[in-house]
Formats: sequence, C-alpha cells, structure tokens
Amino acid sequence: MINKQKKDNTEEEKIDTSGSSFNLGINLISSILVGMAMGYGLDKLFSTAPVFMILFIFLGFAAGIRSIWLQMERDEQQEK
Amino acid sequence: MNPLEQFKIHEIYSTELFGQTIQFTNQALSMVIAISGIILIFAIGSNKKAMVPGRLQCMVEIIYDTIRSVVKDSAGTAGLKFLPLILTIFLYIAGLNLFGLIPHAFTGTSQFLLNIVMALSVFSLVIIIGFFTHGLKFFKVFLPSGTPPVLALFIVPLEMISFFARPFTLAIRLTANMMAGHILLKVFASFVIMLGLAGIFPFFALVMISCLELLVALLQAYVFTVLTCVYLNDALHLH
Repeated sequence: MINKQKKDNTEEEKIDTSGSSFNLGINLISSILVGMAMGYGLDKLFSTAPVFMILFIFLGFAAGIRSIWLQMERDEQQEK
Repeated sequence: MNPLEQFKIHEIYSTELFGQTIQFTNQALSMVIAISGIILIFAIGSNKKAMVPGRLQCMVEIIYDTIRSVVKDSAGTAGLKFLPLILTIFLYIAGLNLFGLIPHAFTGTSQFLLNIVMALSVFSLVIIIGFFTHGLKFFKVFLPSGTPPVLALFIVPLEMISFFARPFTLAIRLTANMMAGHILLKVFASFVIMLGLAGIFPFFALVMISCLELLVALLQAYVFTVLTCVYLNDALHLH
C-alpha cells in the first residue's frame, strides 16, 4: 500500500481500496444496529412499542446489503 | 493467561483538577508515545530539506505524496483543502497501530471509544461541509438521482440508515481488526509456552502472523483514510 510509489507518473493511477472489501460484513452489522436504534427512538417518540423497531431492523438489513453492493461496485470500477 | 487482558485500561497517574479526577491511563501513554514518535520522525525528516533526500526524508516525502494522491484521486482537487486533517488521521492511526505491535505495548486503536470519537468527528465534519457548500440541497444525498418516485418512499430510509451507519462501520472495522489480530498473537504466544519444545512450530506461525499484523496495521489506517476521503467527496460533490 505505502510502497506503491513505483508509479510511472501517469495521471490515471488507481487507488487500491481492496483493503476495504476485506470485511464488508461489518457494513451489515452496523446498518442493522443503526436501523434498530432509529426504530427504538421512533418507538420511544410515539410509544408504539415494537412496530418501528421491527420495521427498521428489516430496513437496516436491506440498507446493509445495499451498501455492500455499492461498495463492491465502487471497487470494481476502480479495478478497471 | 487471558488473551483479553491486554486490552485492559489501568491508570498510571491521576490528579484532581477543578473537583474532577483526571486520569492518565496506559491508553493515554500509548497515544503520547505514538504522537511524539510521529512528530520526531517528521521533524527530523523534514529538517534538512536536502535536494537529494536521505532515508528519513525520503520516507516522510513518500508518506506525504501517497496520502496527497489518495485525497486528490478520491475527493478531487477541492478535497486538497483537507489534506492536513486527513494526513493527521492517517499518521495517528498508523502510529497507534504500529506502536501496539511492540510486545507489552498497549494498542490505542483497540478501544472502540477512541475510534468512534474519531469516526464521529469525521462524520460531523462531512455533514457540516455538506451543509456549508450545498445548503439545504445537501438532503439530496438521501435520494440518488434517477430514483422513480414510487421507490423513493423506500429508498430514503435505506439511504438514511446507511448514511448514519458510516461512522459505526469505520470504528467497528478498525477496532475489530486490531483486536482480532492481537488476540490471535496472544493465543499463539501461549501455545509456544504450553507446548514446550514443540513450541517452535507455533513460534514460526507467530512470526508470520506478526508480518500479517504489520500489513493490517498500515492497511487499516489506509482504509480509514480512503473512506474519509470518499465521504468527503460525497459531501463536496453531490451525485
């Protein structure tokens, strides 16, 4: 990573983000946790016990998968 | 031997100030040593300003150039304003990670609290910059361009969750990597002691894992830096 200085001064040097795809799974965990926290907050606000929390856990799951997808797309673009 | 014991924070020195107890812990000590090491290397390295750089100056220049090209590539020329901040983040994390690899040293970045504070400050910076440069248009970040209006109802909460999950992802990734590596090192080290003469085999594994940890330490600092740039890019240039 650090010693990729052997570039031949062309403008189109790519960044190596392969390191960020080492553990994509963390995206999933944190998305679900944040979704759960948001749902919990909304439940507290409207006192509708588990409705929003359940809804937002599923939304968090979807968001996690989506952000993994986007990141993989970004990495693929950079490989080209 | 408990492999988790190395992450315990204990106080070295404490004092009373304005009725508050101020503790100087081993984590603070690791930060002080890492930061003074970085400052020392950079001060000596950039002291001479030789035309033909020596070893140390070469290292300092390579680090600076690498981070500069990362910022320029992923956040554009507008992102270069934040180069000092991003270089500081990189050096800080790399310094703490590398210092933690010294046996018996405390790894500052294995503490979730430190990482989440760093990630949240980067995140709030991104939000402030976003609102500063785009005003209320910054809310468009929650709605990717070209979304059909029917889907918007569904996409906006998704985008919001993944936007707010970013700092947690950053912090958890760094913490998990540092903790996992150090626990692995500790476990293999206890194998060496337990197996006696046959402990030579886990000892070689230990050497290999140490090399891997050296890579992970620099890689995680680099990943944190790159993702900071990517988030800055999102705030500077709306899609």
